[in-house]
Amino acid sequence: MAKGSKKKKGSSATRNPAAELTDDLIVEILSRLPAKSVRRCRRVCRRWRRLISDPHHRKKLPQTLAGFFHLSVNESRFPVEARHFVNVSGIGGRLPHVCPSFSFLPRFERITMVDSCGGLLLCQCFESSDAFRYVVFNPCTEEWIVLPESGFHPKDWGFCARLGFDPDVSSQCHVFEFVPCDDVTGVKIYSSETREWNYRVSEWCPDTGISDICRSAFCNGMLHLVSYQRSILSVDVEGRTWRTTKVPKMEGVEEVRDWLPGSICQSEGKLYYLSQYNTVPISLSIWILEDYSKDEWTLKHSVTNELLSEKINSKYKSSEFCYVVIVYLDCNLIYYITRDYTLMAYDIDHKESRVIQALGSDCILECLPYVPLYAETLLHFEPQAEEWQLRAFIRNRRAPWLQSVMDLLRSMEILSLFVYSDGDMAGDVDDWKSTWKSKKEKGSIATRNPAADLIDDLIIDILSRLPAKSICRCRCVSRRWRGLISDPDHRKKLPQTLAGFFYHSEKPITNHASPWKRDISGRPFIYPSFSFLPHFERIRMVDSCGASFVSSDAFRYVEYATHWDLPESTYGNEEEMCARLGFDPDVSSQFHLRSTLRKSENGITVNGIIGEANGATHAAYSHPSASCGSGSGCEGGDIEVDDAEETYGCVVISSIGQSKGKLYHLSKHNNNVALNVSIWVLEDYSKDEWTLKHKVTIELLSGKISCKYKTMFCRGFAVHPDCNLIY
Amino acid sequence: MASGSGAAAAAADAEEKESGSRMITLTSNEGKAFVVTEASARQSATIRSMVDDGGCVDKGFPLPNVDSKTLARVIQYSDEHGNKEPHTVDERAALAKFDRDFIAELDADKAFLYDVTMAANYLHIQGLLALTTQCVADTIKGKTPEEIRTAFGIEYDLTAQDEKEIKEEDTHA
Repeated sequence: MAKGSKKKKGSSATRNPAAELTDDLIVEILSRLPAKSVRRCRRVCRRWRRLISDPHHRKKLPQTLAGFFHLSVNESRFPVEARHFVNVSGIGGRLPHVCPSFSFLPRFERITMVDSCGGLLLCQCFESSDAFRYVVFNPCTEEWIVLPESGFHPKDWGFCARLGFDPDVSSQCHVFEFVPCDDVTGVKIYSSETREWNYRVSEWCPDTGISDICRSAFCNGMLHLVSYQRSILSVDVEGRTWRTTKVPKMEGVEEVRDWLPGSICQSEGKLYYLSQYNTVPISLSIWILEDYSKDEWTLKHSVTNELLSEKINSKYKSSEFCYVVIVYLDCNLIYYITRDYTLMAYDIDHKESRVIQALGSDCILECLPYVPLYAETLLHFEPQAEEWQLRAFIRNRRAPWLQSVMDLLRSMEILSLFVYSDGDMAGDVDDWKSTWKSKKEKGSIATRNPAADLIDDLIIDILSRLPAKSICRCRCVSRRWRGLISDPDHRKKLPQTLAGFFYHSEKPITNHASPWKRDISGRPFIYPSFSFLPHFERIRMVDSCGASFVSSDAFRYVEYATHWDLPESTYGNEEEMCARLGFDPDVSSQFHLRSTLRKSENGITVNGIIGEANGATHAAYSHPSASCGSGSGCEGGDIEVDDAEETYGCVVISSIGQSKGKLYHLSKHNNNVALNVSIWVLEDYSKDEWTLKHKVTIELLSGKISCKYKTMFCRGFAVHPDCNLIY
Repeated sequence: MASGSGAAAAAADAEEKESGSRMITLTSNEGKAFVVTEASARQSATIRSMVDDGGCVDKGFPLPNVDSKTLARVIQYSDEHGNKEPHTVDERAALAKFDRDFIAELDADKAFLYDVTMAANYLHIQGLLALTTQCVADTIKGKTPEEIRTAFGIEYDLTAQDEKEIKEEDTHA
């Protein structure tokens, strides 16, 4: 009531009881408004704005589109298929981003996003390459349900699954599965109420095909789809009512030839249809179905694709087809992807378009729009299968506190099922190893060369003493050697070459899956979601050294790969941090973490070394001190080089690498136009003498890059002398 | 209206101690007493819990946050919904018509509508709260922020910084 009295004071002259409404009442009133009005109400006053953005009230208030889930496929990257989330509602931190790693789900081999509706997502989660389950989940509340098997086999082609859910009407969701989708004979409908699939025979006219690239709309208890026969198909959640509605006609357009499958959407219980005709320019028009019984469409807006592509680079302007992702009438926006893979929005009211985000040429056009739902709806559905709950539970099994629980479970033989499927458990590996070995030995029996009599373990022992560069070469020796080197069981012993890079992409309005790894060695092994770590709000990768990675989160350093633990350091947020990891598996199994605080002025203060700093050797230390220098530009350990460089020009950036216990230094000089890159090796520590090894110009490095960036800044971020490569 | 039933009848009924036929006294902040049937009073979750706790049924319930005019109107609603149980389609239609007329009358007097809304919230009468808040929501629908400020008597207190932030949020969606 304190708020109320304050308000009353302000308008004491004319008593307005509306100003006395409590916060709860205002939220109650706002919750009855459509999302569009709630959005507008933020502009009323500070109190209302605070109420609307308050996380406690989000559960009740209708939400607007938060963004899109989309997929990118890139063969040379791991993971090849990456899920992304593009945020469209506002900027940065204030409004929620959604992490598309879905790490709360149980472990599946592959997750394919199928459909989204009313804040829920429908995914196909593959247990193996040919068996999957549908999973419906809410990314906000992290609730999920695994549907029973529908009986559909993924090898059968032409399937189309859609989700129907409207939180305003019912807390139950329905999954529709049309098989086959190009000639629908019937539909299987799963209801979360009965938890069963029901099959209904189609009452649409025969030969009806569903356009599986078009999104569906769920309103008034009916699922609406676009068919290739220029009509809107609808079916209710029980599969009793089947309806076909002809799409609106456009005058002066040859209907059969120029018709393109449009898209449908719903807003406030009304069905809208965006029709597209392949004319020049492509004409788009939005129609509303006012009355179900009459099949009458009313024209609301009309747009041409020239308007849509106003802001696009002129190359694509001429009547190119834009892919319309969704017509979002709650905000009167059309989202579409242009030919150069840019997500754009067209404002119907203001008749203007704007660029939202470049998605990158490896993106898949099908985007799932996502409107967050903060209310816990799926909780009504009892966790139906304990097996799945257990799987989610042991997903984090590497956490030490879970270990004891797992031991207990294993002793009860509950886990026997999972131990086998996990692959990294001992029994499985041994089995596989013995069969593999016997096969290999059979192959090498004919040869008499005594070197060939060496058993595999001996070869590995020899190889493990070689530097990484030589191992690369050894792979070309014979099939057997190659097999040995790439054998996952021997990887533990052998030195490895650079597998790739972890990188962040930090665009302000995009939230990518998580930093992922670009695979350059053709053997993917690291999944960058780091899902084995305990849950943190954010993980930032800081440094990597010798197959271990440091990430800092809330000022805790986590070292993992072989094992992880959490020494807590006490740094304030305000100071720029520079933490480096020192770890050399050849010398010692201990790792060292050196964190450096960079004060506002120049100069480095080494604050302390955290970690088990026993048995430190000179070689193990060479890297941390080196990276100290590289991390902060050109200070610290490589001052000697600075003097020499001054004669060449100013230093742009330098980086440091180590190989075989020798320290390498990559320096870059900005010599008028051409950037010179040179690599130096520090042969003798005591003498501080550098020997020039290689010299490259930036033009050589950027030879294969498009001319636009040729003279621009190029950052050499890793020298890998083991393979004589610069990335 | 229930207040007309008289205290004597209330006392007689109270002796019967039969749930639903007991009479309950509600007192407004102006001290005016309203005698209602228990079924009617039970529409309010606040009173229902007090009655079930075996509290001061005989002494009546003082309602310091509700004035007489508002309480009379609230009782009109709870009588209609508490004392009748609609069984047939016609009865249900009659009740729906009552709701429509009830809210239409309130809608004409906005200041009174907010009073009833707050009383419904205070007394936890879910049906009435849904009815009134929906009515208020309908008045907001389609209005500009400026119109909403006028309707609610809210002062414009957004700073230029706030406006800028909202604009930034809006440029993306």
